[in-house]
Amino acid sequence: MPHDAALPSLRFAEDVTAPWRASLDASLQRQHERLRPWGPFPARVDVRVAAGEAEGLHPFTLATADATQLTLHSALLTPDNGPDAATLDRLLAHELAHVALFWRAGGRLGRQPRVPFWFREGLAELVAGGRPTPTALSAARAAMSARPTPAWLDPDDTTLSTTAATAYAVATGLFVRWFDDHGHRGLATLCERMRRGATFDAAFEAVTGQTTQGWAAGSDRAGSGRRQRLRSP
Amino acid sequence: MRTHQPHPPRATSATASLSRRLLAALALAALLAGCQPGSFPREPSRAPPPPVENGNAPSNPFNHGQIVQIPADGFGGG
Repeated sequence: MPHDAALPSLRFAEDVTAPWRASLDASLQRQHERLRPWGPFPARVDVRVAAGEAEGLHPFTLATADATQLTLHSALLTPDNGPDAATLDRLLAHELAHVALFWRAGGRLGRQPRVPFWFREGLAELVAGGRPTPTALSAARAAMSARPTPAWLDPDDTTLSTTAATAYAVATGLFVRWFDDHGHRGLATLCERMRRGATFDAAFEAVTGQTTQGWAAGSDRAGSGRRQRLRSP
Repeated sequence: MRTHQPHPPRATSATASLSRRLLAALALAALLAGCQPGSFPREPSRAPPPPVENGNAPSNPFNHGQIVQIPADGFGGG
């Protein structure tokens, strides 16, 4: 049965506890309003709150998403009183960007598009309006000065998991740099190619005219001044 | 004779913020463009989530099948 809702269908699960209900309901309404101008959301998404930390994931995990379910892990989100509105809005917007990318680039349930960390998290942070703290920005600048940008594109770089704030700040800077050059048409084309079966690397090269490594190396040579995109708001 | 070369105007924080919001809107538009009702053949909310690699919870949150996540230790509110 096709999804034919005119608006994104975001709803919280029945077992969401009382402290979360009001703030979550309000935030979901704000997400509906925010997404309304852009047309129908591709999936119905259930939002649930899981007690405790995210099992099997890094302890800094606040929220996770798959194609149809968004989970807030309450251990870090003040479970007694629920989260503050700004945090909740940002979390939902970030995770919904992941859900949208899942459907836009994957095209159907069970076909998970494999998108590198820097691209998917940078995109989600941009959409959610996330702003790195000054500490994270300093760490990101230092980290990017210490090694060339292509090293940050390695999807198997496990050191990212121990420097989360830095990794997210770098990812945002890299994605904004790419998006500045290739815009929404580039992003839409890349997603469409992946939806038709291309790998991320192939789709990226088709849109950008370079491999990810070549693009990053070229960006590095273009001057470290471009790293000023990693700036405070 | 020396000529004065004025510095290009620096982007104010308000301009930077507006620029970032515009980029965010464009990115959102690109994500949702083409996702028309009926584009997808199955009812997503009734189906199980996609399988996790190897059937186990992944040890590296950046390198597995489930889409993740947002750090608690570094980002301020939007």
